[in-house]
Amino acid sequence: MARASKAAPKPDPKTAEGMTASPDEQFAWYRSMLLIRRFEERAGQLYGMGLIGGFCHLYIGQEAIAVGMQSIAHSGDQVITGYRDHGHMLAAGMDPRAVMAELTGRAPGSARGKGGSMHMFDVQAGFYGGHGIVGAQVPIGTGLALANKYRGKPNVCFTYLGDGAANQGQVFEAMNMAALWKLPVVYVIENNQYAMGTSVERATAETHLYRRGAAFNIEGAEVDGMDIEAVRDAGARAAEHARSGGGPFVLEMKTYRYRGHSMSDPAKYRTREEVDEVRKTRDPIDHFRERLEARGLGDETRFKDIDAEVKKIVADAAEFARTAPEPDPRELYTDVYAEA
Amino acid sequence: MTDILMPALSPTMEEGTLAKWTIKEGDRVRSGDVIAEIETDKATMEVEAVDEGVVEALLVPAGAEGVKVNTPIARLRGEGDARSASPAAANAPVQKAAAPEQAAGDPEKRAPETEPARAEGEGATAAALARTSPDPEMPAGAKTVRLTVRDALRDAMAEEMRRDEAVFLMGEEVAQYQGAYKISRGLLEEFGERRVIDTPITEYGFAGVGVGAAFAGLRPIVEFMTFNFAMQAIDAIINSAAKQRYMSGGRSPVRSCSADPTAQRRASPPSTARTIRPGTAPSRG
Ligand SMILES: Cc1ncc(C[n+]2csc(CCOP(=O)(O)OP(=O)(O)O)c2C)c(N)n1
Ligand SMILES: [Mg+2]
Repeated sequence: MARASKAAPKPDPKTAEGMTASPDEQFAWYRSMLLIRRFEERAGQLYGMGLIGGFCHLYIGQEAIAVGMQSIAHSGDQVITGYRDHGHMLAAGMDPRAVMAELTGRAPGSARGKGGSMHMFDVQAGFYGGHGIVGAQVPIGTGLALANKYRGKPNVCFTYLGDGAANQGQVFEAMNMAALWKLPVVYVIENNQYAMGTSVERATAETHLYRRGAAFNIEGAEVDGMDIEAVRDAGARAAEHARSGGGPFVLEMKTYRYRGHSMSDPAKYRTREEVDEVRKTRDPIDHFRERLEARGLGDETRFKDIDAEVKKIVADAAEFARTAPEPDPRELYTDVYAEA
Repeated sequence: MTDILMPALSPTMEEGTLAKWTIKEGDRVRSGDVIAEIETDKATMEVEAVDEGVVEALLVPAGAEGVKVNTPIARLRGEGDARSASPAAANAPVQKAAAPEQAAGDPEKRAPETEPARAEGEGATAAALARTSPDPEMPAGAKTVRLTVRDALRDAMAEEMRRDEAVFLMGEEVAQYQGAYKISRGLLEEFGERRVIDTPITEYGFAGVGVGAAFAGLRPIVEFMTFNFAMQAIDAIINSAAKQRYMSGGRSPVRSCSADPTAQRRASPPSTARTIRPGTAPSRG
């Protein structure tokens, strides 16, 4: 399923890094995807209750990408993405309480209630945002990669962008520099078929987004972004390429967002049948669960336990986010100027 | 038992119509299933279940108007929950559909009929506009029409487009989606695809394209969804457009204008909700 603009590396479950994962690891990915799904459903509900102001873009349907990529990342690697960022943060290990409380704009939120859904940062977790301007994270991620090379660190920056963002001029400018200077960056294009109400076909003359870097001789591959193991396999190859001095790599993750663009989008530009079809036939979580069962790994109680544990974490995060205090109004004046 | 609450479709929504149930009592629902359709005077949205369980009771009948946000609309029985003792108890809390006069409410509090669908990022409401005092310099007896800034912008564009065939509109989501903030509602229908153009998300690029078209004598209206996004294109706006008339000694007047329907909105972050007014309409010449 991987297809490249130059060589076409086929996923080979045996040779790729970490592909001989233990049952525990496999369950950890399952749990991580489920946590994102349940977290996002709850966030949608809190929004409906008027507890989340501003914007809120859910990651439901795309969970295999953030979790799969994170599972092949090395310690010290960085992640940067746009505003559809809750999944990446949870996958990176950020505290669900702090993330949910940031959504509700509360004092113990990840950005003290000042960033909201689209702007959270956790340098310890290697997470560099959370960016509201479409495409802006791409040169920044490239700069993080430059810093890795500059310092001689063996780390890669995973720079996520949407199919719509892939049309921004600064994406091309960044890609050119990344290729020119052989920077350790993997561009992960999450192609969920739509940018707000505009389908990929209506926005770009080259719909194969894995070819985005072709003008700069950047290799690319198309990946089934609904299959966590395909994501891991392609991700590991791309990261290895970047880490070993080969320069940037483009991964086009074919995926789908189940919900509207943001909470107030009635999504009239596509049919209910289209959405239902994907949910039924390609759901990343259901699929992976079936695979675990087929491998004889999943006994019913194990799945039930994970389910219960995840529900508890999410309920706790929601309660925390609902009851935590609002920031002191004086916070308006903090972190505006820095001490010289 | 878990109550399903009437959701808000936007931060400013207070009540809405429960247009339709797509489930009935006794149905098993899974998270993600569509359970109802909800309407405001601006939009219709599907409501999805978050919790799993069996529908114990629908507490609000289909068609009920004026259902307040956060009132329970249905009750779910989860796996661990006991079946409700009497069926009457489950049916008891059914609310009456709001009487029409009650739903209509105080006309001052209701948005005028003309207010288009609320899109992402709602700004000043019509009700808030209605409260602003009239322009003190208005001559006595002048007739006024009450309309939103959004509609005024749309009407102004439509008037110009009717008057001058060289005027056209381009920007993200301006055509098929009718504008991310519903500013361009109806324009695609009236003027067609040649004059109402959806662009990719590439502000610097399409602003420059607009400037080029203006060099050739067309009069493009380039919409930036919000002014924050026009920052991506500031070079085209200032260096290419605004300075051109002067730099060409008047030989190349650039007739273009940029529109940016930004308004302050509750709890929006600095990167996507800032109003920077001066200089948004370069060289209207
Ligand atoms: C520079 C800029 N232009 C426009 C917007 C408004 N906007 C926010 S998200 C979005 C669509 C982006 O779609 P895509 O890149 O496919 O990501 P997805 O939402 O599908 O994850 C647009 C147009 C913005 N935030 N920034
Ligand atoms: Mg997209």
